[in-house]
Amino acid sequence: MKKIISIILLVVLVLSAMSFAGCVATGDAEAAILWSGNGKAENPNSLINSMERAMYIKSVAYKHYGADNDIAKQVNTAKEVLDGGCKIIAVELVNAEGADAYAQEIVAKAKEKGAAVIFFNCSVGEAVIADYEKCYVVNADTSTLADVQGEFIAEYVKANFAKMDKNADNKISCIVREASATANAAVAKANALLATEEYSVKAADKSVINTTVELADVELLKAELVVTEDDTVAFDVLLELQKADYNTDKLITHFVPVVTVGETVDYKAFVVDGRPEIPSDLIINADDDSKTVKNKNKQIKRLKELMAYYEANKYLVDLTAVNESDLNEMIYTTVNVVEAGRLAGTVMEDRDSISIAVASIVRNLVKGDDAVSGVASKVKDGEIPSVVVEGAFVKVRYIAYGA
Amino acid sequence: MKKRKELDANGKPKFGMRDCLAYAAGDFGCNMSFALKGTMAIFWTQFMRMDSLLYAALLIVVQIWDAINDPLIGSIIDNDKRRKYKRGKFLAYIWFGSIGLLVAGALCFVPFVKNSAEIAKALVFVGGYILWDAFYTIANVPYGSLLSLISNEPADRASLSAWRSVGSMIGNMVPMVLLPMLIYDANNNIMGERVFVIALIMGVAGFLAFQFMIRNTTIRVDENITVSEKQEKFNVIKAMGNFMKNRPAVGATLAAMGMFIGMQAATTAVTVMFQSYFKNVGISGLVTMFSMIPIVAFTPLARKLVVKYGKKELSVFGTICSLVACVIMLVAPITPDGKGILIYILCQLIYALGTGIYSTVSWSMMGDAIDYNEWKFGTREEGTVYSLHSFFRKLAQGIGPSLALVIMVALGYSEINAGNQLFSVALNMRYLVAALYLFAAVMQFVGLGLVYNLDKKKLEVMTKELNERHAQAGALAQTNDENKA
Repeated sequence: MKKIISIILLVVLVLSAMSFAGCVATGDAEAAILWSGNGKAENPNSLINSMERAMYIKSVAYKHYGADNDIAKQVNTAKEVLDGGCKIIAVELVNAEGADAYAQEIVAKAKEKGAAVIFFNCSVGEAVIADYEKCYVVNADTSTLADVQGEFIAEYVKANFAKMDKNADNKISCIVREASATANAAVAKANALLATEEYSVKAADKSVINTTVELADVELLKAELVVTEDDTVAFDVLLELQKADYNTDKLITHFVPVVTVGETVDYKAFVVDGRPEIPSDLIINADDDSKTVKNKNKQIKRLKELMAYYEANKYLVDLTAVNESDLNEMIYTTVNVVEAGRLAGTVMEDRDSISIAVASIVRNLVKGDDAVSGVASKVKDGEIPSVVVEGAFVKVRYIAYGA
Repeated sequence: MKKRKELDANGKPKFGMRDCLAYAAGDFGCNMSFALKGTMAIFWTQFMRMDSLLYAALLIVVQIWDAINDPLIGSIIDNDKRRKYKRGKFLAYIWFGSIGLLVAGALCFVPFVKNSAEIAKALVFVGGYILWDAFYTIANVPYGSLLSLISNEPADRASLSAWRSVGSMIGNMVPMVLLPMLIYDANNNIMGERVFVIALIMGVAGFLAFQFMIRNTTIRVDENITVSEKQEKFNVIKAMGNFMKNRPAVGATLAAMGMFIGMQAATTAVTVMFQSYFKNVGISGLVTMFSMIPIVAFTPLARKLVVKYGKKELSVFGTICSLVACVIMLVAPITPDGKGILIYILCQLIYALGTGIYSTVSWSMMGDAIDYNEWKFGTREEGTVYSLHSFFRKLAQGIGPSLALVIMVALGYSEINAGNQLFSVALNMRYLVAALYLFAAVMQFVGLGLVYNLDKKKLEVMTKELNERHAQAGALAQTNDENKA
C-alpha cells in the first residue's frame, strides 16, 4: 500500500513540475507588437494589458517593443524585427506629423520580407494599406461613437432629470466644448431617444414629459450639461468648475455633469490635502558623496514632478487616505475621475474588442488561414483589408448626480 | 394519539434523523460567521486599503491568539466538572458562544475606519477578529466534541459526520453563492458597507440554528468517563504529549491542515482570479456551488460506503481524486473565456468530490481518534484532543491566507488595483490557485495514507475492546454503589 502511495505521489510531482516548466519556458515569438508608448503593461486599464490577455486566449507567442512616442525609433525597431525573421508585426503607430510616411517604410520592409503588418488603434492612410495585400488595419468603428455617446446622454438625463433641470424649464441646457460633428451628432442621437416613451422623464410638477437637450449660449456654471469629444478638454472644464467650488469632493457641492470621450492615461495621482513639498533636509551638502547627490537629485526631481501635477490637477480625485508610498504605483485615468464622481461619464474604446480582433488576425496568419476569418468585425468593402471592430465603444458612467 | 418515542437500552431517545439534523444545524450555525472569513482578505486589502503584507502579518498575530485560546478553552471545558448543567456542559458552552456570535462576525468587517490611519485599521481588525474568534471557539470546540457524546456507534458517528458536512455545505453555500453577487460592483470591486450588513444578518441566522441544535440534541455517552477507581489529575502537557503519540489524531490533523492551508489560501487567489482573469467575480459563487454537486450526491451513500470499505480507505480514495483534479488544473488550457471556465468547473467537480469524500468522514475520524486516545492511554480528553485538532486547523487556516497573500504580492498582486489586476498577475493567480489546491491534496494524501493508521480492521478491534472496558467499568461502578448502600 505504501509503495502504491509513493508511486502516486511521484507521478503527481513529476506532472506538476512539467506543467510549471511549461509555464516559464519562453519559446520563439510568433508575432512582434510595436507600441507607441514604452511597451510595458503597467496599467490594468491599458490596451497593452488587454492585448496580453487576448494573445493568451488565442495562444499566440509574442514580444512587446516600445517606442517611447518616437516614431523614428519605432520604424527602426520594426525593421530590426523584420530583419530578425519575424513574420507578423502588429503596430500601434506613434501619433506624429507625417506618420503615413513612416508607416510606408514599415510596410515596404514587410513587403520585402514577405511578412504581414497589422496597424491597430491608429490612423493610417488608405494609400499605405492598399500598397500591400498583407497589410491590415484594426480600429474601433468610430461611426458608432456618436450613437454610443448619445445613448449615454439620454440614459443620464433620464436618471437625473429632476436634479439636472436647475431652472425647471423642462429642458436641459447644454454646452458643447470644442464643438465637433461627433459631439453634435451625439446630442442629436440623445434627443431622438429622449423623444421616445422609454426615455420620458418626470417634470418639476410631477407630470411625465419628453425633454430635450438644447445647445445653449450660457456660462459654464449655469449649464445643465457639458459635452466634449476630448477628455483633455473635459479636464480643463473640470478644473474651471472646481475653481468655483463645483464638482468637488466636499459633502455639499454644486455639480455640472460633464460627458466626454476617451481615457487618457498620463495623469499621476497625489494627495489632495498634502501638497508635496521638498523637505528642508533634502538639500545637497558640500560633503555629500556622488551616490548621495544622485539619490537626492532623484528625490527632488520626483517631488517637483508631483508638485507640478498637484498644482495642475489637485481637485480631480479625493485621495486623502492614500499613502505617499502608493503614489508611484497609481496611474489615474479619466475612468478613475468618473468613478470618483467628478465627471458624469466617458465613452471609450473597448480595449478587449480591439485586442481580440488583432490577436485573432495574428492567430489566423500563424495557422495560414484567411487573416480576417472569424474576426467578429466588419471588413470594409473594397480591396483594403481594413477591419473595423463593431461594438467597440463602451460607456463608463457615474449615474448618480454629483458625488 | 401521540407517537411514543422509541427509547434505547439506557432510556434515551433512539438515535435517528433528529440527531443528524440537529448536528447539521450546529455546523450551519458555525458557518454563518466562519464562511465570511474567505472575504476578509479582499475586504481589508482592496476595500479598506490596508497594505497586503501588513494584513498577512496581522493575520499571523491573530492566529497565534487563536492557537492559544483553543486548547485553553478545550481544557476549561474538560476541567469543568464542578457545575451541573441542565442540558450538559457542552451544550451550555455552545449556547453562550452563540450569543456572542450574533454580532461578532460583523466585527471583522467594520467599514467605518476606511479612511483612518493604518494603525487604527490594524487595531480595529485585530480587536474585531479576537472577539469573533473567542466566541467562535466557545461554540465550536464543544460542538466538535459533541459527536462522540451523541453516540458511540461507528455507523451513527459516520452519519453525524456526513450530516455535519451537509450543514457545513449549506452554511457555506449561501455566502459562497450569494455573496459574490451582492458585494461586488459592475467593475468587480468589493462594496465593503454591504459586507458589514450581511455579516449581521448571518449572525442572526447562525444564532437561530444553534438554538435549534441545542433543543434537539440528546447526549447518550457519559461526559465524564471513569475507567478506573483512581482518577488521574488532568495534565495539559501530558495530554499534548499523548496527542502527538496519537497517530490517528496526528494523521487526521495533518490532512485537515493540508486541506485548510491549501483551500483557505486559495480562497483569496480564487477571488482575484475571478475578478481579473475571468473578469466575472459574480459567478464565482455559482461555480463553487456547482462544484458541491458531487458531495451532495455522495453524502446519502456515506454511511453504506463507510460500513463496506472503511473510513480511511474511502478518504484515501477521495484524496486521489483531488490529486488527479489538481494535475488537470495545472496542465489543461484554462483560458480566460467560457471554455476555460468550463474546464475549471470540471476540475472543481472532481476536486470537490475528493475533498467531499474526505470531509464527510473527517469528523468521525476525529471521534475515532478520541476513542484511540482512551484505548491507548486510558483517558478520553475529548476537549483537549479536539481543541488541539482545532488549534492546528486554525493555525493552518491562518497560515494559509497569510502565506497566500505573501506569495500573491510576490507574484505581482497590488491591492491598489483592487479587482482589476494586470493580466500577467491574473495569470499568475490562475496557476497559484492550482498549485495551492495541489498542495492541499498532497498533504491530505500523506496524512491519511501514511500517518492515519485506523483502517477498517483495526477500528473494529478498538471498538470491541473499548465496549468491553466500558461494560466492566459499568459493572464495577454498580458493585461500588451496592457496597456503599
